[in-house]
Amino acid sequence: MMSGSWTRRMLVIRWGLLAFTALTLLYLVMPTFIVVPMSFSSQSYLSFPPPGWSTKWYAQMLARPDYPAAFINSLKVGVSVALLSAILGTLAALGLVRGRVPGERSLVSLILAPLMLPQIILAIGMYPIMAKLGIIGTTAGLVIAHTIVSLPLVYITVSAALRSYPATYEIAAMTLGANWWNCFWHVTFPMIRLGVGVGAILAFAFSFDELILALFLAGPESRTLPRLLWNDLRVYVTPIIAAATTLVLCLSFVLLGLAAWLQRNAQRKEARS
Amino acid sequence: MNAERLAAARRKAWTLQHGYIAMLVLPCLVLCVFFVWPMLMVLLRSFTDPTLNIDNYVEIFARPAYLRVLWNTLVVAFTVTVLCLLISYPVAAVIAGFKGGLLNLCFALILIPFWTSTVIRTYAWMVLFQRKGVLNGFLQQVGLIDQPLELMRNFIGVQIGMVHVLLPFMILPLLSTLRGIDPVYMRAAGVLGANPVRAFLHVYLPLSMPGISAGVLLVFITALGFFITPALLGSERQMMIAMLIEQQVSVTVNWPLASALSTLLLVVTISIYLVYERLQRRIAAGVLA
Amino acid sequence: MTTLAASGMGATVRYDGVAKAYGAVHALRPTTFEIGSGELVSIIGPSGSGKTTLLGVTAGYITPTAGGILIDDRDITGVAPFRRNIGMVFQNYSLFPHMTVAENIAFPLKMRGMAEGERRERVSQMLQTVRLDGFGDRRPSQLSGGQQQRVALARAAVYGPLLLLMDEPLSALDKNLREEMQYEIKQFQRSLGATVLYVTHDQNEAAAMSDRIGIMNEGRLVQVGTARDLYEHPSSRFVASFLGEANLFQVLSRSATADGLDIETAEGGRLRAAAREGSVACVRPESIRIGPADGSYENRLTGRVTDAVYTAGSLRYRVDLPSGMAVTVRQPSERDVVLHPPGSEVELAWRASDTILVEEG
Repeated sequence: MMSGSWTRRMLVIRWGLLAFTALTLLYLVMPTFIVVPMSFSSQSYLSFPPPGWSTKWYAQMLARPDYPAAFINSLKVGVSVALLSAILGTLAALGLVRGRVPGERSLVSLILAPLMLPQIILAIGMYPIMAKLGIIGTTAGLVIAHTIVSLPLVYITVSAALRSYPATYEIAAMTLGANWWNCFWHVTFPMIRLGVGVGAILAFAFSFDELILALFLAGPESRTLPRLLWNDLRVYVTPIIAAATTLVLCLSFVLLGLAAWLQRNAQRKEARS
Repeated sequence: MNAERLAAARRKAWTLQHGYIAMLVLPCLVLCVFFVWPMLMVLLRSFTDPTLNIDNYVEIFARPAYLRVLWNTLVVAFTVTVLCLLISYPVAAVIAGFKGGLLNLCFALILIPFWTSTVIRTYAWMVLFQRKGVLNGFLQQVGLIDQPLELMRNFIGVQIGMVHVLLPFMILPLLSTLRGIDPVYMRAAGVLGANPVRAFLHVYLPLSMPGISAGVLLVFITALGFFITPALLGSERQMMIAMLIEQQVSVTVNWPLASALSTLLLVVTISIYLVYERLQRRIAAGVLA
Repeated sequence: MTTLAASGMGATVRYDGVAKAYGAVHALRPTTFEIGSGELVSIIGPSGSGKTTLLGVTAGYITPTAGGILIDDRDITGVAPFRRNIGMVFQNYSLFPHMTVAENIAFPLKMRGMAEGERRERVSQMLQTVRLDGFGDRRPSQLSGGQQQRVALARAAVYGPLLLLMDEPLSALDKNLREEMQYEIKQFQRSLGATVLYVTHDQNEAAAMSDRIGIMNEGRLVQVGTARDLYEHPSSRFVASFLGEANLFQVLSRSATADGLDIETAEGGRLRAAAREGSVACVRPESIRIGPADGSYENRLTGRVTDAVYTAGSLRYRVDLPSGMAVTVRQPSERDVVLHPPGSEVELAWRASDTILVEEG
């Protein structure tokens, strides 16, 4: 009798926990996916489910000159950020993982810090410096700012890749006659390119979504999509935003899927050898 | 002669280490110009603009309006962290027991919002929470309420939005720690006569501390500097420090005060991080001892 | 093969007080010695004794803090590894996993700007030499350990380096394969006339392969010589106990006599030894006779057998002396040899010439 009520109570707790987990996961995902049907709504007011379906918000979005321009700006900035942080992050990871650098711990903290600190502080700090250097409001300025924050992402993925194989590969290449560049190009890079690729994708994804730095450092010419969405959101909530948001979501998922696919491939390759 | 020759050779000697250190020059240069210099300037400006004194800080702590913003920031960051922990812990514990496809599905569901921009997610909450929004519409249709609920422009809206954004930051570190706990420990505790509550308190909970501390650190630090969610879902009354900084720059153009506020946020963030590192090291040392 | 030998393998190497310190830690203390042309010298020693540092300094990826290295009288101390023309075989082989076997072997030739056609010819020649014909298109991960080992060897030798360095190349292989590869490497080295510096932790391997063996301890090259030299004339307590087995007696006092040396030891009382300097007396287990012996054995001790083990071809005893010291004795097990059971009192005897005096340290 005692034990019967005990097991029943355990069962209730078990199912309660499962239900709670399911609800939490729903809470995490649902709001994002409400936006997608919203963008196909036939009505301008926000209701769910939409009373009818149409693609007019997408058409209106494309008809407005600022949305396509912002989208292209975001792509331009994102690709540049991905390239630049891939180069700088890989250099930093090579130096810190393979080299015996004095003060290594503080250097690693310095590299990771921009990712940990609130972006508003970086924005406040960079604004006057970039004004002094004459790159405030330019695409170049925004690219540099985003690179500072996404460099740690590449550093993390590439240093993990470098730690996954022994340093003797590079030393072997050098004894066989490869100079620094040949050693990197023929040996190191083929071994770490997945880490570099995943890091670059993360850097692009970060830049593509980033708002606060763009808010302070971008000018009218370099206005990115999140910045434009922000401006519109503060004025009025229209389904055009939902349409743009859906597009951004699609791009994010493609990138996330690509990164996951690259990593899975790498793991499978590792398992094979 | 020999010593001379060696000394000459040593001066131009090729060294592997020098090559690797040379690779750090470019990244460090970029970081110095666009990260270290800006941070130092913020610090400097907060003390020297307009004159060399601590007036900017005095102003922050003397004005009730500013003090309220600081208080808001701490309270919101704290409650959001606690809420995240309370929600995440059982969820992570349940998911940690999953395997295969179910586990991957859960990971995907946690990662999808993680990789969705905060602007977009906050927009989704606005769609849900507006007076004529989805949630009010639904509740009115069902007949639970007559008048639309005020879900935005208050702390509840801000907190629901922030918890939503920050939940993955808590679940992920917890999950990685909980998945590392061998179920043998819990079974052993049961065999040794501990009831489930005691086994949880004395075995499972202590073993999950690294995940808890990492999650709490991440969520609290990120919450302190939050801008987008409180700005869109809250009102003036729910202002947090990042919003105040933005306002000082773009509305009142008071750079010295913005610098002082930024310095404050910077110092608090770094201090929390340092305390965390200390604790981590002590935990690690304790485990080894 | 002739083309390889002609390109100058088999240089002489001179270490001229070369040393490496990391702050206060001396990984390699000033080391001076020479390797002759076509000689295979093994370096053995416990881990952390400086073997790997010596290799690194020679290959060039570790820069020495003092001294220098000369190859064929050219000072290469400050020269980058990729300009040294030295070949190295690594412990884990370090075959590039993203290249095929042929690409791996061609890599050093490509780095030297050799034309594609010539490169292919050399690679196939080399694959033949290491008996891996037809394996050129495989990936290293598709080969067995022994095959990978041979590819690594081929890659390190294909460009006719002045010197071949090998860092425990056989440690990843199982015992039988290891012995076969020892022979193969030796053959390979002889046919090329290559100078080889070979690092291993296995003294049998070193003895089987090398012309000379160097023993390292705590960053110091303590003794260099042939395997026999080292075994019969160790210079120190460390060498005596590191190479093979040794019974060591602490010398308290010594007095020269007409035909040798009388020494007083802590563990064995008065012993007779061949005249030599040293404060430790070393007696090899196989030079001790167990049981009654004739007058030609100057040293006699009694003890109690505490353990007797029969191992392939020999009997191994552990005999406790009255002083408490345990002496190891090894005897070939011939048919008529009497087995002394544990517990029995026995007499141990050995010749004065078998008491080798060595230095402390």
